This record gives sequence, structure tokens and C-alpha cells, in this order.
Amino acid sequence: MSKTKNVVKTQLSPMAKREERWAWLFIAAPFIGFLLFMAYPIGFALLASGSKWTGVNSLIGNLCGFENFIDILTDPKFWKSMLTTIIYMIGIPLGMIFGLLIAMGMNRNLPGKRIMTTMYYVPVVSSLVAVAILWAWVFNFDYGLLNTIIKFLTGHHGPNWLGDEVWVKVAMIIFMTWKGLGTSIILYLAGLQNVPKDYYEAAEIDGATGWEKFRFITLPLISPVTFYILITSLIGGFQVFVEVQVMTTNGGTNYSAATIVYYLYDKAFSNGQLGYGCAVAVILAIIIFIITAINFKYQDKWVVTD
Amino acid sequence: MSTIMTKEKEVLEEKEMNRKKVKVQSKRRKSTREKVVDVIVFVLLLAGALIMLFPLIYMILCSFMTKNQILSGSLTLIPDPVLIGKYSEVLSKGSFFNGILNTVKVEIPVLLIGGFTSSLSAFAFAKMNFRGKNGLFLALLATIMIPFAVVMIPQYVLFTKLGWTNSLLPLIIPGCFGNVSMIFFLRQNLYSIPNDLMDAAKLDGCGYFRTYWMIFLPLMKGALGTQLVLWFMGIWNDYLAPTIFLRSEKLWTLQVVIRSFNSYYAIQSDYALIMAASVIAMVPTLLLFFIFQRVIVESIAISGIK
Amino acid sequence: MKKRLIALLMSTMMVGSVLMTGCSTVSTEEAGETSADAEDETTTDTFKGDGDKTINILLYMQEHEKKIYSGLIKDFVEEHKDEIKEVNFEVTTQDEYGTKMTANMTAGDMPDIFYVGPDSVRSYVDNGYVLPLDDYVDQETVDNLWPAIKSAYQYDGTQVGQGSLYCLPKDLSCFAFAYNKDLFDEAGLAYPDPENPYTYDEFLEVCKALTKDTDGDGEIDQWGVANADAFGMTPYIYSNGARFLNDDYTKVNITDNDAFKTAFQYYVDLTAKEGVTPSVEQDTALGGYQRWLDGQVGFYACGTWDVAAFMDDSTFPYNWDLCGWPVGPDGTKSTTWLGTVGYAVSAKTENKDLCTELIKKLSTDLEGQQAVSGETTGESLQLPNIMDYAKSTFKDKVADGTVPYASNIDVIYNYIEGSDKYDGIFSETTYTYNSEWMDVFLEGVPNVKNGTVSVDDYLKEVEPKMQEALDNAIELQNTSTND
Repeated sequence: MSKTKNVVKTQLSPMAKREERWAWLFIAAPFIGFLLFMAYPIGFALLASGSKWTGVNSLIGNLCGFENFIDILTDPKFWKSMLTTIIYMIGIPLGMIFGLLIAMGMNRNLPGKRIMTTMYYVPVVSSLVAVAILWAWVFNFDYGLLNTIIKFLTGHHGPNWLGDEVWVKVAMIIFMTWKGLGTSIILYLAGLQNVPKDYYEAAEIDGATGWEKFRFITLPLISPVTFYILITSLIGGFQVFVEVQVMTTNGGTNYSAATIVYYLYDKAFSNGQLGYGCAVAVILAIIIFIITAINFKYQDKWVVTD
Repeated sequence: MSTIMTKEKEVLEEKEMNRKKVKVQSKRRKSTREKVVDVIVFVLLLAGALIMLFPLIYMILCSFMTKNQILSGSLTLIPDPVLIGKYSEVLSKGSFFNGILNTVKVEIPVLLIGGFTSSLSAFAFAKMNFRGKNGLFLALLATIMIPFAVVMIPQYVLFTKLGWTNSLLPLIIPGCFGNVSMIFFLRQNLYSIPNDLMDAAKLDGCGYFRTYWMIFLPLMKGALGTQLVLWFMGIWNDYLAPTIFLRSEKLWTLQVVIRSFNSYYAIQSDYALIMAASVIAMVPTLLLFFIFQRVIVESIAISGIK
Repeated sequence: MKKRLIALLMSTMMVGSVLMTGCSTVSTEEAGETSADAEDETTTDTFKGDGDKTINILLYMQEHEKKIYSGLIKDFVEEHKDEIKEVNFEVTTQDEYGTKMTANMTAGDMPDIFYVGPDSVRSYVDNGYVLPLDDYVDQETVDNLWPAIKSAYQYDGTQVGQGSLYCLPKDLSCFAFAYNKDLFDEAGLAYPDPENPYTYDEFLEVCKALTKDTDGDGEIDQWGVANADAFGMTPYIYSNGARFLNDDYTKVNITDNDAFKTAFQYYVDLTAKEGVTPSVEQDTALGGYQRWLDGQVGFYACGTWDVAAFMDDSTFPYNWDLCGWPVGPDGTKSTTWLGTVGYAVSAKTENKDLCTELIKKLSTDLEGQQAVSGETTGESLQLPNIMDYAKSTFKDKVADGTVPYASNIDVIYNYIEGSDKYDGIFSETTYTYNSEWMDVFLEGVPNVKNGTVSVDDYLKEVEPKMQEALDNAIELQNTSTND
């Protein structure tokens, strides 16, 4: 990739110029969309992040420099919700591993494959509000399905899933993994179909074991899909909000379930500090961008892109 | 034109061959060991699928329960008495069908036009050379890193100024400019199609748009299908943007209608009604998913060309 | 593929029918569940007349209320047909209302009529968003409002409670106390006296008598009372004559405040020491509200908006009545908090007369009030806003059973109007820019209730944090305005 870049920089052949012009035309739509619908809002949010804007008062009249940012970085609640957000990301590799395993199972062309895939996809399709109500009942300490089963199997009372500061995180990870698993399955299923069967046949002739086939054929060839799932899950993972809002009251005991975006909502909309909320968003976007950029930089190390 | 034609033909032939191979393979008698593995995998997958499905079953059961039974402490699974009225109540609400109609009015233009613009730019990002390719791509990704919470207010301001708030345009027009996550996935997917196809097209003097339209679009049909279904679900289940941007009740999308069933004070919330509405809202998406799975997963196989 | 589809449908139906055969099938109406509006026509949110004036309304309310208010608006348009071109009635949920209003303010596109709560009167007025109603609403109407509501919407530029009137009330609610008569009968206890609220000590004794293990499995399964911290704690504290803040709402005052400490200690002890409420852990499992509905607790808070639900046998199959919150040793009156939201007219509206006319109709039209308070609908969603109606006909209708209501309805009247035994005030968060300082306090209360932290330590630890949040709120209140 970098080679082409150098070539392009030094001497752009008419052919390459023509290609470049076409390419810019092809990618124009999303950028025009960006300019029309995102540039102004982002600029607005940036400006508001430096103001004590409450939504009711004057935005320009209350500019305060970096005060919001300093307040945020010195607020223990911000750090607490940041930590929780990162802990929830344990669910990302879990979802990817389960997703890949299930997709590989489905890929064995078993009977009822389509109906089973549909069953795994049910959580993705169902309305978040409704399933959150249901899961809150499943996790209920005394009467919930989960603790009823635990009591039946072990004779002991299960944990206080939504009330305990540690267990609530486990409960949230279970819930989010359950909700998102279907998506990774169909994406992996799509990726697996891309792996040529004759690679496996060749490997079999060479006497490769099942693990070796997985390690040296499957894994590298689905790495573009893995990379996609990883990046989008990271971006999504930093923005978890609705799940927390519908599953817990006020972000859980001692704010133990609250995420960054929950914190943002809390400040911006419950407490009427919109400028402050915008500043939280700016910090969050910078963090996500850095992490994404690092991932892109090092993707050559493991992502096979032909 | 000849080189490209043969190249494309080659790809398609190989794809076809591969499909046949798969068929032959699956017809080939599996060894006893493989059969045993199949059975174990099948049982595990089925068990997993049932767990995934359980909350849905619970949801269906709840939709037949009385308010008191749902809210009562003890865990009950079987509705007693069985209330069937909630479904007719949902379906008799004019707003419910109106909500479905509005959602469909948003879905169709967005998926058609947005799918086209997204796949076109994905093609450019994956297969064409131009300056600033990676930087521009990261910039595009950056737009989904900012929480919607902070851009929704300025966006609303924008839509008000444009005079769109009395229509569905705020939900339709931005989507038509493409979907970043879709561009990303298609880009990743296109990596597994060899570049020599592109080179052959160039050699033949085949125009870029023609190359996209005639060769690559058919090849990414499956991946595009997967993403379109995911996007469809996203729009179907989205409620925050429609609630903020739509001013008239006549324009409410399905999720906004469902949400209006959910009252502020728990006691007045008609849980059974919410569950019934959610079940009804799910059915079309599940059917769609089930039907399109063949397109999504199976035609995605562009294997055998590596 | 077709076959599989059919198979899918078949299996769904089979699951369904298996479920059905187990038990009897009942329609919604038979089970006594109120179906909101089965015969609902398509949504009508635009009302057209022959004139040239357009009015936009943005409110939040629930389905059944909306029906009543849509009717009122329709009548209004009919009455002013030659003036009005159209009235757009936009209804959203309470959760999204604030966001939509912020968006509208930012866009400079305010609806003509919207809600303002007593807590936002100051910032809305300071920023020039609402129209003073003094010149538009006649004295007779104003005099017929509950004094408590009137003062909540008066503001003179520095202080709430005096000056111009800015809103007409949509409602006035009151957070009273209720008890489960059946549990009292079982325990052989005398019912609480609505004339004389319990003292702290009396209340504790009654609660102890109600707390027991009814099924003999060695675990307590019935409690005297259940308290939700966010709503049900302040009445105990207010009833001991204590407040969180000083008189001008600028300083948190809880550590050097014996009355506050006594009240909070009492509140905590109900759970930690006396065990007459479900434990903190049990509370996370099943909220007090559900336990009350399940008949597991003797006393529970009852807002005026809860009454209709508690009167509904399929939701709450027990006999119950209203009573006062217990009074502490330092207090003189049983005190609870009141709530309200009001209709405001945009300062920038082009149709000042018409809009004020319309909110008058929504707020104080007799027919409308008869509907929302239950005389014509049989379901009391709120108290009537019109005082003379509330005190005369409405009470008669409660007495003769036309309006299903708890018989000790006077408890609510006493709280709203104040008496020698009762008092109602607005929560202190009403007078501060936001309620973050209160949230800070509430966050740690479970730790005190389960005995992890002592009351003294907690108050000492939390006071500076609350003060910080309060200072922040004051700063925001005083930020530069739009004008």
C-alpha cells in the first residue's frame, strides 16, 4: 500500500490521475452526507463543549474555555464509568469466540441450519426495551429464572445479579453478549463461506490436524471479518447506553453499572448540563479515534488483505 | 473486453465449481467419526439456540398474562388466565399499522439508494488507488465515533431550518448518502476478491463504473445482502432518532408507537401490551431474515479464487 | 422453502395451542383489565378550522389522558372556528420531552403551548421563553386554583412564590401514605386515624406488629412498610420538621442539624435495626411497589396518580385506605411533597389571546376536569384543578362511589391545603437548578440502610459532595441568559 502511495506522490500518470478522479467521485456521496449532516452538528458540539450551556441559557454568552474538560477529568464518576465501559468490553472477545465457534458448527451443513441461525438471530431482532424488561426478570435476585435454576442445581442462593456492584457487570456482559451474538454469527458465517474448500483438501493431503487447519487456514482467511467485528464492536462498546438505562435504576448501586455515555446522558439531560455533556462526547470521540487508528496501523500484523 | 470477460467467467465458474464441490462433499458419505462429531455439534448448537430463544418464549408468554401476574413476585411461566385481548388491542390501534407503514417508507429509499452509494464507495476504497485513501477512510469512520446524544440537538436545529421536521425526510435523506459501517464491511469483504480482476478490467479499458456495476457488485451481492438486512433491522428498531426528529404523530415509526405504550409510572405500563406489540413487531423481521438467509450466507461464497 | 415456512408457522401455532389448552382463555375485558382504547380511531393530532391562525402544542401525557385532552382541543377549535386555521397537538413521552424542548429552543422554533414545571419556571422566565399570564387570565379563574399551585408558578424575577403568574396547572399531585386494611384485620390492629397521624414511635410499633413470617418457613415474608429512597424518604424527614437545605436553598445543612439526623436515623433504623422493611438486598430483588401490590407490606406511599390503579381489583386485590406519614419528635405536622406541571404560553407566540384561552380550557374546563378526575370516566387520574369543584361535587361523587377513591380522601386535601396536623410542600429540588445534589445523597443511602456505614459518618462524608453539586447548580442557574 505504501509503495503505491510513493509512486502516486512522485509521478501521477494520466491513467492514475483518471483513476483517482473516478475514485473521488465514487466516495463523494458519504462525504457530502458528512458535510451536510455531520459537519455542523460536530462543530456545534465542539463549541458547546467549551460553554456552560444548559439548553435554556445562551451558548455563546457562557463560554468557559476548558473548564468543562478539567471538571470531567477530575470527576471520580467519570473515571468510574470509564472503567466500567472497559470492563464491559470483555464481552467483545467472548462474543467473537462464541460467534466463530457457532458459525463453524453451522458451517458443517447440519440439518435445520437455517432455522437454527434464525433462532440465534432472534435477540438481535427483538426490541431492546422489551428484552431488557425480560432480562431484568431473569436476573431477579429472589424470583428470577437464573437464580431459580442455580438454587435447583446447587442448593445455594445465586448472586444478587442487578444489585451487587460486581455481579451487575457480569449480568450486563451476559445480556449484551446474548443480544449481539447473532450478528457476529452471520458475519462469521459469511466470512467462512469465503474460505475455499480446496485449501482444506490440500491441507488434509499434507496430513494437517483439525487444529492446524483452523489455525493456518480458517483464522487467517477470516481475519478481515474479525477485524471488522473488532473495530465496530469497539466503537459500539464505547457507546453502550440504552442497555444500562433499561436494565438498572440510576446506573446501578453506587453507579456500578454506568458507562461513559450513560454518564453523558446523566449530566446533559438529567442535570441540564449540555455543554458538559458535549465535552464528555469530545473526550470519548478522541479516545475511540486513537484506539481505532492504532488498530488500523497494526492490522498488517494479523489481517490478511490479499 | 475479452480478458475481463474470461476473468469474470473464471471466477464465476470457480464459484460454481466450488458450490458443486460443497454439494459433492456433503453428499460424500461422512466417516463414523465425523458423524459422531456432527451429532455432538448439532446437539450443542440446538441447546444454544434454545437458550437464545428462551426470552422470546417468555415474551410471548407474558403477552398473554394479566398485569398482576406479570408484576407479582413469584416466578410464573404459564399465563393464568390466558388473555388474548392484547393482540387485538395492538392490532386495532390505528397507530400501529401507520407506524409500520412509516417505517417501510423510510426503509425502502434508504436501503436502495444508501445501499448503492455505500457499495460504490466501498468498491473505490478497496479496489482503486487514490491519494489520502486511508486517511479519508478513517475520517469517515470517525463520524460514527461521536455519540448520537450530542449531535441530535444540532441536527434537529438543521432539520428545522430546512423545514423537514414535518416529514420523514430527516430519517430518509441522511441515510441515502451511505452507511459507514456498511462501507467498512464491504471493503473488508472485497479484499478477498483478487486484485487481478481489477487489473484485467483496466487492461480491457473497462470504465470504472462499469467494472463496479458489472463485475464487483454481483460479486459482493451476498455481503451487501447481509449488511442490508442488518441496516434494515437497525432502522426497524431505532427509536431515539425518530422520537426526536418527528413532530407529528402521523409520522411516528413503529418503535415510537410501541414506546408510547410504555408509560412513565410502572403501574400504568401495560407490560402485556408492550410484549404483544414487540412480538408482532418481530415477526416480519424474523420472516425476512429466514427467507433472505440463503441470499445472505450462501451467495456470499466467492471462494475458490484465492 | 415454502414447505419450511409452513413448518415454521405450524410449529409456532402448535406452541400457541399447547399453551392455550392448559388454562381457560379469557378476553381482556372479562378479566377486568382496562383496555386503553380498543375502539381508537386513527390518530387525530391536527384540528382544522376556517380561520388563519396556527397553534402548535407540545406536551407529554399518557394514552388515556390524551384522549380526554384531544376532545377538549377539538371543542376549542369548534368554538373558535373562524379564527383558527389549525391546531397541531404533538404528544411525546416524559423521557424525551426535555430533549425535544431543548432542541426547539436551540432551533428558535418554540411551540406556542408547552409544559413548564415549577423547577424550571425561573430559567424559562429568565431566558424570556414564557408569557406572563396576568393580563390574560381573569381573577376568578386564578382565585379558584389551589393556593399551593398558584405560588409554584409565580415569579418576580428573583424569587418564586410571588409576582406574575406564568402557568396554569395541568395537575396538582400529592404523595400520600396508604395502608393495606386486610393486613390490619389479620393482625387485629386498629386502623390508622386519618385525623391524627402516627408519631414515629406509634408507627414503629404498628410496623413491628405487621412484620411476620406468614407461612412458617422461618423467613420473614410480610413487612410493616416498604420505602423507596428516591420518593419515600423525604416525607419522613419533612415530617420531623427537617430540611436538606437552608431557607434560601444555597447551603446543604445536614450534619449540624439534629432534626435531620434524628429523622434520617429513624428512617435507616426501620430497615437496619428494626427490620420492619424488606432488606436492601430484598429490595433490589423486588421493589416495594410490587411487594405492596402483592400484599406483602402494610404501608406504602400512594401518589394521587396511583389511586386509580389501587382501586382496580385486577391490579390490587386488597382493601386499602389513605393515612398520614408518621410525625417525628421534632416535627409538628405530617408533611409530604406535592408535585405539579403547568401549561405555559410561548412569549413569542403570535396568538397570545387564543393560546391563553386554550390553556384555560385545558386547565380549568369543568367538563375536562370531570373527565380526568374520574367523575365521568370512573378512573381518577388526578385531583381536579378547580378548587370549588374539588371541594364540592367531586367529594360527593367520591362519597357516593361514582368516582372510585379511597374513603380517607381528606388526607390528600389536608396535605394540599395544610391544616394543624398536615402540610404539603414542594420538594427542595424544585428550587434548585437541577437535583444532582439530591442524587448524590441518595446514591449512598443503601449502604447506610444495610449497616455498612453509620449515619454520622455518612452525613459527614456526603455533605461536602452535595454542597459541591449544589454550588454547581447555583452557578448554572446564574449563567448568562439569552436576552
